[in-house]
Amino acid sequence: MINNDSIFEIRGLKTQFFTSKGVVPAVDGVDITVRKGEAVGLVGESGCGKSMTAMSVMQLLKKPGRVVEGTIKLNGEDLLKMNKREINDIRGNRISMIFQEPMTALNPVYTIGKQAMEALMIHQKISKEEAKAKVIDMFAKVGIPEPEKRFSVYPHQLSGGLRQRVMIAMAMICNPELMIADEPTTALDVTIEAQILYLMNQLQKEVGTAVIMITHNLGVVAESCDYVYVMYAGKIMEEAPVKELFKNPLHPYTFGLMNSIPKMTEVKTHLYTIKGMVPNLLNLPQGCRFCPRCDKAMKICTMYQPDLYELEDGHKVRCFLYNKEVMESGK
Amino acid sequence: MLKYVIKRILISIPLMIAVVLVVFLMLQVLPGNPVSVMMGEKASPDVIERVTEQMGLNDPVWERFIDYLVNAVQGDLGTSYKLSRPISDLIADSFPNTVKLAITSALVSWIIGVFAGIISAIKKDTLLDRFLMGFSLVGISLPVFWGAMLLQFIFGYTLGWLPISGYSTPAHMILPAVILGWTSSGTIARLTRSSLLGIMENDYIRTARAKGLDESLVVVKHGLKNAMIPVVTMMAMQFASLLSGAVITESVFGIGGIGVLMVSAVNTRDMPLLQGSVIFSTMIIIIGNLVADILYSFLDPKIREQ
Repeated sequence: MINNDSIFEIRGLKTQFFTSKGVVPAVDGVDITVRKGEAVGLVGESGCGKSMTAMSVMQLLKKPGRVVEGTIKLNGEDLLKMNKREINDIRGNRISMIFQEPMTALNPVYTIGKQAMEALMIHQKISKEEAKAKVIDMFAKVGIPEPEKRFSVYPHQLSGGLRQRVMIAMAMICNPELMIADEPTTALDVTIEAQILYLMNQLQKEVGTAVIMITHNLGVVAESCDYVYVMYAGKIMEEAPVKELFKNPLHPYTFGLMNSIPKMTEVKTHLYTIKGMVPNLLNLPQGCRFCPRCDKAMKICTMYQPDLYELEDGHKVRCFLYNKEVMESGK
Repeated sequence: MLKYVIKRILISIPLMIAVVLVVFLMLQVLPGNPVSVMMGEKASPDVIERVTEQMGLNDPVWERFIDYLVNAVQGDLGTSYKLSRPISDLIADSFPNTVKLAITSALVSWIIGVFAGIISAIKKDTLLDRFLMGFSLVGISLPVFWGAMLLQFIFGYTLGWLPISGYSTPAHMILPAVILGWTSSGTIARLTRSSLLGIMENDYIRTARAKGLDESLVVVKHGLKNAMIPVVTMMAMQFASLLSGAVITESVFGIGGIGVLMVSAVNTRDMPLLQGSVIFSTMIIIIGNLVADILYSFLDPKIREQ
């Protein structure tokens, strides 16, 4: 599925929260590229800034959060330079979003059909009947049984899995160029998770929509993404095609994440954990942000922030271990 | 839906009977013989005794209660001791004025309340929000009789724009509606504001924004319908209490409504009239709550199903 024409580019995105205790740099200079029809994973622990990256793209940040720097370009147009109306034309139409909590993401007082029609009615000039027919088609496509009947059902009458299917139908209804899925399966049980991921993959292939999959679950990434960004404390720590990353994780953080997944093939008495805690964004270490938790930390790591180094095969990693000069100079 | 309505109506019936019983018993235990009140102080004990017997007041309480209930269901609430007219006629005479007052003041209250609430919520923490909430706080805190007299003084006496008392022309309805509406609008405004602010924090509001809906549509379509659920309940209950008689406003403006009827019944110790008008008012409140419940189910599909 990977080709080289990028449709969506985030460059140097900085999102900060101006709180009474100080400025919180939730997203700190993030670059993400999504190519047409590609599924990109954005992985990290809670609070690493992955959701805030998505909210910055959709411009749904709540006060006191604000994008302070960077560009977010969809086919060359910078979303951050657009006015409210232009943003509304993009939201739900060219970029759509699925949220983590299917139980609360739908309005309880409208039928799911009406809610799904809404995006169609504002973005495409079609009649109510046409919109209804399209929604029923879409409901069928996302595997909602008896779509005609379900059209006039209220959210509370559906299970979590079905509601998330409704959310996917709503997100896909205008054939968006990009769909951002923020932990779409976290609230669902494992069997439903697999079904939903399969469905999203199918739709993505069929419609050619690119996907940014935000998750803390490496299993989800392995199953559904082509390319992965690993995020930690507001920065991208490592990025690579999914197979490469799983075969050859370079950053000590990525390494730690992978080791903390239980494996069927190994017998362990203790599961590996990354020591320490996610740093407080108000009080970040001076050097590398992962340094206090890193078991390979060197002296330089405590003093300077490493850049994102690109290796020969395109694998990128933010770690001094992969900087030849640093390694040769003897730390 | 129909099943829900029928169920709610059936539940109200025992409640209504209980209300009649309580009001009936309360007036039974009041000291003083109603016949001596009716006949005046000069009546001889013999006469009083005979009339009491004639009116069936010596029968056991439960027997009289059953009689009263059976008559009440047929619309006969007895006869006023003082005015010697059927109580249902007296209520029928004064109720239209109360209805007019209730409708006009409810309109004032709802329009001011809902709009002020929405604007305050959207413009949260701005000067406009503070002003509107201050205005509604004054409304809640203002004693009606004082506010009413103030309006009478300014618009009736000083400026001479509006009549001070009586209820014959539409111009007469303005001042009572404004003062009663204003004092009740504060509750609606504050409830609308807090309810809408709470609703706007919900995930589905974010979903609506993510669809590309204009912010005003997000508020009106996705926010307001949810936020109105508690507000509508409050409105219906407020309307019912207005219908059951605004005693002070009616007295200050000289409006011959249910409130004034009740006060005069108390002042003249006209027990059957008091009993009849209190029961009538309570019925109105019960019906108001019933309507609120039914409206509620229109807004909230979860309730409709149960």
